[in-house]
Amino acid sequence: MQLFPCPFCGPRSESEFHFGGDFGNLRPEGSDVSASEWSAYLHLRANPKGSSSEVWMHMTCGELFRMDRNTVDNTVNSSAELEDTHR
Amino acid sequence: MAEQRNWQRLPDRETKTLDVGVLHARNVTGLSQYLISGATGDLTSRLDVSSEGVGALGLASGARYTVRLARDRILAVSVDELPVESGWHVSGCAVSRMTGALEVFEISGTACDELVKRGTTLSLSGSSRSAATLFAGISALLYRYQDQDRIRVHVDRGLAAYYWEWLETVSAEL
Repeated sequence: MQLFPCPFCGPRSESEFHFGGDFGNLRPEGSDVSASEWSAYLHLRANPKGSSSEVWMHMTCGELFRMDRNTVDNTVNSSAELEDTHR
Repeated sequence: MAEQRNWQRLPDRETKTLDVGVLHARNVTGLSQYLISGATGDLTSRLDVSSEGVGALGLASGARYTVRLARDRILAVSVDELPVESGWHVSGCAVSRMTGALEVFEISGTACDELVKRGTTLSLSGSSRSAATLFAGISALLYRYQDQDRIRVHVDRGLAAYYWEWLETVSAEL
């Protein structure tokens, strides 16, 4: 079992969390968004080896937050509540 | 004969108890529950309850108290009806009655912590700010009530029969 740090609740089991995608993958706005931009937003993922910034949700309390972790050794470096611009 | 695949019916809420010496469980009836979401400060002041609320394994007491669910959401629990209307309040919060939605179990005894160990991944040495957690695989609110060897667990009413059956199974192994 791995513990993830919810910014509100503190350390909880990974089974209480849900992955929400890459941090910074913002929805394209405006009427002139091209098909390739939409495709990139919907389907392309960074999938980095090493340091990764991701959006996660703590399902039990509903907290949506950014978590920086290493995808190689699974260490978590930090977690922080999302600002409104990244929700 | 077809395999029995249904959960048992929830026992009589008023009378059914579970007693295995080191653990005693019962259904707590008669509690009023209110979900308060948003800016909770003004309303909790008016109701004379804590605006913070107890978190997981935190200690609640008294006839009227609050349980913290999320950053902007608490559950007010009371032995009597609270003088509060459901719906939106101009102070910036919304109130929903949860009395019929959540079943409350009270479990006491020296094996209480052992039960929590078997049902959750929480650390017994500390408390967590939100009382919402997974207990026996389902979403629940968990906190201590009155003393360290007594917990209260709120679960969705539709899952109460499953939770009671889980209690019966696990308590037999304690």
